[in-house]
Amino acid sequence: MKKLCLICVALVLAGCGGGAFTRVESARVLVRSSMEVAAEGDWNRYTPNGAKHREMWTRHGVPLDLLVYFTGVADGMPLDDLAQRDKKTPRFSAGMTPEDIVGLTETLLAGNGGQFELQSLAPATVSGGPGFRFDFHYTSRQEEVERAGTAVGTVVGGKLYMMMFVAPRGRYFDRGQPAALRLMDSLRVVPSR
Amino acid sequence: MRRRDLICGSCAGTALALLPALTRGEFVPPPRFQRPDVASDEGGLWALMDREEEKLKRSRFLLGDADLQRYVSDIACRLAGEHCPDMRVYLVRTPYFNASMAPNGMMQVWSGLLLRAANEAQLAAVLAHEIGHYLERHSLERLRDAKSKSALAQFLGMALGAAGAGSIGQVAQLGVLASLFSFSRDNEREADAIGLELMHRAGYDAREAATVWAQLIEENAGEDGGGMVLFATHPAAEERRGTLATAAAALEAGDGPGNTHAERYRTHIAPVRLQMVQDELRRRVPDSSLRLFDRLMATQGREGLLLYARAEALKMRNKAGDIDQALAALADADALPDRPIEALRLRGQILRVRGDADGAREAFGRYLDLKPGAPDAPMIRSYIEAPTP
Repeated sequence: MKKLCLICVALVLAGCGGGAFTRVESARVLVRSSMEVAAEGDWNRYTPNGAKHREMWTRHGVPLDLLVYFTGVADGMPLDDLAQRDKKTPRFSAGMTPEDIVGLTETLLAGNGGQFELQSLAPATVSGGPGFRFDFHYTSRQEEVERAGTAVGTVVGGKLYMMMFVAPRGRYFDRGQPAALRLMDSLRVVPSR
Repeated sequence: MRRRDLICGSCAGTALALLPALTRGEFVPPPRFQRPDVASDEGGLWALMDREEEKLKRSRFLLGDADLQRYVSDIACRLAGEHCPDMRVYLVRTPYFNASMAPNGMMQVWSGLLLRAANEAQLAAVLAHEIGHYLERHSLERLRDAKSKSALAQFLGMALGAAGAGSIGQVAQLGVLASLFSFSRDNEREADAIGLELMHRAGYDAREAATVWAQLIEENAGEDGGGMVLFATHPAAEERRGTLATAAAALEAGDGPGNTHAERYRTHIAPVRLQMVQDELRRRVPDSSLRLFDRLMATQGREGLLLYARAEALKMRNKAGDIDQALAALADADALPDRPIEALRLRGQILRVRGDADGAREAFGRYLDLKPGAPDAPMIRSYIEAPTP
């Protein structure tokens, strides 16, 4: 538990709710009943306690590589589903454009005094339909480690489905990105009701 | 509880009497401080701050603008007089209003303060207040007051917070900054009084100190104000502003008003202003940001950058009428020389969502003409090809 708290201090993305890690089998895997990917290699998964639309995967540990699934963020819900209730957390709305969603991500990762630099934003085919992909660098104020990230997203039925891979910029990101991109390429959204 | 009220009441009484005495030009700064013996409590405090300073020197959050660094260091030097050689100023990129000075001479100035100050005198007012704490060695006083373990822990939190270390970002998020700068009320009043005198002696308009206060109170009217760090948690904010204004008027009555140096301040912060505005917007607290941008426009004029910032905050808030107002702000910004290129992209985004295909295409086209290598260029090109969602 203490370790997980350290993780959440280090990386807001990982959430603070705790949760158990389990090994991911090399097969088609359904993530929170709404995103299916073809898993391969040595991924581990966990869902923070209390998360409504997030699942985390990591190969070497959360601070070193982290793949976050946003499994159908509903209209009016915050990306950060573990945020304190009394906090004014930015919320997703169904009419948001890709640049609005990049803005939400920017605030999630670096809104509290951190730095965020968009590297690219482009249209992309995601789960066989229209979507977007963006790449970025960011540094949170708490830990001062520069991380790189890449994400793909699509809005289906008014809900946001997004996969985001982040790792310390350089060796860890460069080595981890290909496996993350393969998972992203294999994504099939199974819209939840 | 009753006893505590009594004690605090008497503190306030003493402090009220203190302020006029100090602002009659009677403050004599102490001689320069010698490095304390490492075995002493003060030596331990310096060693702690030295370690934090070493970390700060390597921080990715230092503003890299050498001219601005020199400019702010010079202001601090003019205020600190003979203590100038002992001070080291660090400009830190963080979108909250704050400055601090550690007992070893490490001074931090956060970019949120640089964005919010309307002129050099306002920046000087905050720096002079912090130098007041330094000259009176208030942090040592607090250390010696902290007899219990919990009080010591709180003090170390304050000291490290003042050094910008560790958890300050999270603390800002939680809005419990009162404990970070929990100098006593007497300490604060003393620093106010010394600060006023230092800025007056350096030729600044001392009335700007009270104005800084007023601005912070206004910006923090909601719960998300980025101005909360330095003063806003103080229980007697309104009263303190009034006391400062009265004391400043008394100082200025003798010698006439000092300078605000608004123009040279704006010239010096201009190179980092877009970045500071973007850092503010990233907080996504549009109500608070709008109050800030509107105030800056009231004092500095309707600049292209501020109009663009206003439009971004309005689009983010997206209440009834906000999008119309955002478009109006962008139209006003059009003719102004400091309008950022990003204003064109914003107009395109708004018009696209509204279904104005020609307007969106035109705005996006101009954006790409001026910034063909923008990171979002592929997305913008796709919008030009299919301008409505």
